Amino acid sequence: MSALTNRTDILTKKARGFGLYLPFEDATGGSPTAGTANSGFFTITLYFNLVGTTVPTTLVGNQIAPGPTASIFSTGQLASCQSAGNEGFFAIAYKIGTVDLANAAATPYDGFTHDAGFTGPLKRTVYGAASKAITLIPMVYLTTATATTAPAFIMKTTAGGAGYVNQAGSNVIGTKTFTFPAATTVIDSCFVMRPENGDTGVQDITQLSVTVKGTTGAATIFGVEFIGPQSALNIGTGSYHDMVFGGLNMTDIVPAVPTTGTVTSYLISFNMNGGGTRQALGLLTGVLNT
Amino acid sequence: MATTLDSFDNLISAATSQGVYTRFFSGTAAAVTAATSANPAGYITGRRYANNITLPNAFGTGVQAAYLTAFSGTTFAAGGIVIVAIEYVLGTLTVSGNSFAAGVSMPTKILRISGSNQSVQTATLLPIVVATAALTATTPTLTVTYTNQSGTGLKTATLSMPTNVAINTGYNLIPTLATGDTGVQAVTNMSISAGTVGTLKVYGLLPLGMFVSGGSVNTTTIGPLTTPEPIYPIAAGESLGFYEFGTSVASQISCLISLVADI
Repeated sequence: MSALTNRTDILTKKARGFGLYLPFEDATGGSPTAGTANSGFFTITLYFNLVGTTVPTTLVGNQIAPGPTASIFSTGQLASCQSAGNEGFFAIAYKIGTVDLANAAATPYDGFTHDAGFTGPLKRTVYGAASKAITLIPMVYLTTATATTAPAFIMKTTAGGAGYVNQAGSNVIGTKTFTFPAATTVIDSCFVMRPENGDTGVQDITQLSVTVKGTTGAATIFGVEFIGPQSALNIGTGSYHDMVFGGLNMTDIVPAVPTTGTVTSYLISFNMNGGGTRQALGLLTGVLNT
Repeated sequence: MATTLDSFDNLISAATSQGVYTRFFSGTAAAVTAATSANPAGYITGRRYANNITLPNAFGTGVQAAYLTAFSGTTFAAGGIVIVAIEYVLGTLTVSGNSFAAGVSMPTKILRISGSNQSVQTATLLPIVVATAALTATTPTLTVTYTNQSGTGLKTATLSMPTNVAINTGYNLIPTLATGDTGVQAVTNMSISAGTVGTLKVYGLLPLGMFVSGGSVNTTTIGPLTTPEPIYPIAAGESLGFYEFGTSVASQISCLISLVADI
């Protein structure tokens, strides 16, 4: 069977069962701490699959058919919010590593540990070119609440070396200080990490120099790849985005592949105006590019 | 297939010359058994409303099939995605005795696309395991042997279910399929690891339309003709089932469907 070429191809392959028609139900863990200017301005709320997830220790993404043999291109996205308005996105969150915000060492110290299971960058076919590195939005997701002092870090090594690989594949020494919004920032809080001016994201993160530590605190660093929009402004309302005929945006739902190894990834919903326990449910449809 | 889908003028002509088949559907559903972290059962909780709409066994002269052109409704309880679909019973398991009875296979459908007919052996992207009689079973594992979307048989899916699944609870089999599979053409066996009472059926769905319900507050309907999904012709005698996902509480549904003849 050949790759998709036209409308008839899309519809007949779906009818033959080469596709995706996935009802999903995502939820947050509770009430994250609101962001501030020093924490990247946004208050990000990540919604993992309701069934199976216990934040922040056990995270489960939306479960598609296991091990697809080709890309699954999104064809339609329906989303609704059942507890409050939600302007957000579908996304794939890749676990890049973790950061220790309360190490015994004196500050500043190198607090980041890259996930040992893979080496970056993550790659997929982009504009017809196979194995192209993708750009991710870096986000810090708190897994152990902070205490006493709001921790801070810079995307660099303590010795002054590069802390991330930017969208162009260049190693960058960060200069911006990220500070958690409160001395007691709660678990499940999530914020956007700001790269240097002119950079639009990261291909990988290599180190974070922790300049202020708390007495407790730990976080997961995610690289987030946008899949498509969600928008539901009131309880029970929904929005449907036609990814084929409503402005071609058939993004690949199958996770990107690392340079070596296996990356942990989650198909999730998230919004950028979080606060409070929220629930997103909907339908994700797609077609297998085979 | 005939030419009803070839243009909106043809749709209008079919509707006005044949009449629109309109049906109001309502149902009451008791609470169903939510999937849990320990027994994720397809990772979303669903239900099948117990009654359905069965089309007449024969259409009028010249009518080859029917198409769903409108679907709207609401549920009393908030928080559900409601899908209307042509449903096929692919297999039945009687828990007592662990006895399997084969159902039908997913049908061949002729899709009318861009003015031409496409004959397609369908496979369901939404195989739902439904308790049509409540189970007495402690965290059972259901094993389903199936034929996948490519026609390859003897594939297996295992579904870890909560204890004593209530009647009309539905779980999505897709996340439990064998690696690389995305759909199901047929079910060739079902067996359960534990239990003394109950009945499970695998329904293969061909989705036709959907709405999301905020209960008595808001409802958002997605028009069946305007999505990039196959528009399946409904044959005489076929049944339309109503499925709800994302909520386990007791609820009521009321909705309206409209069908137009394919002539």
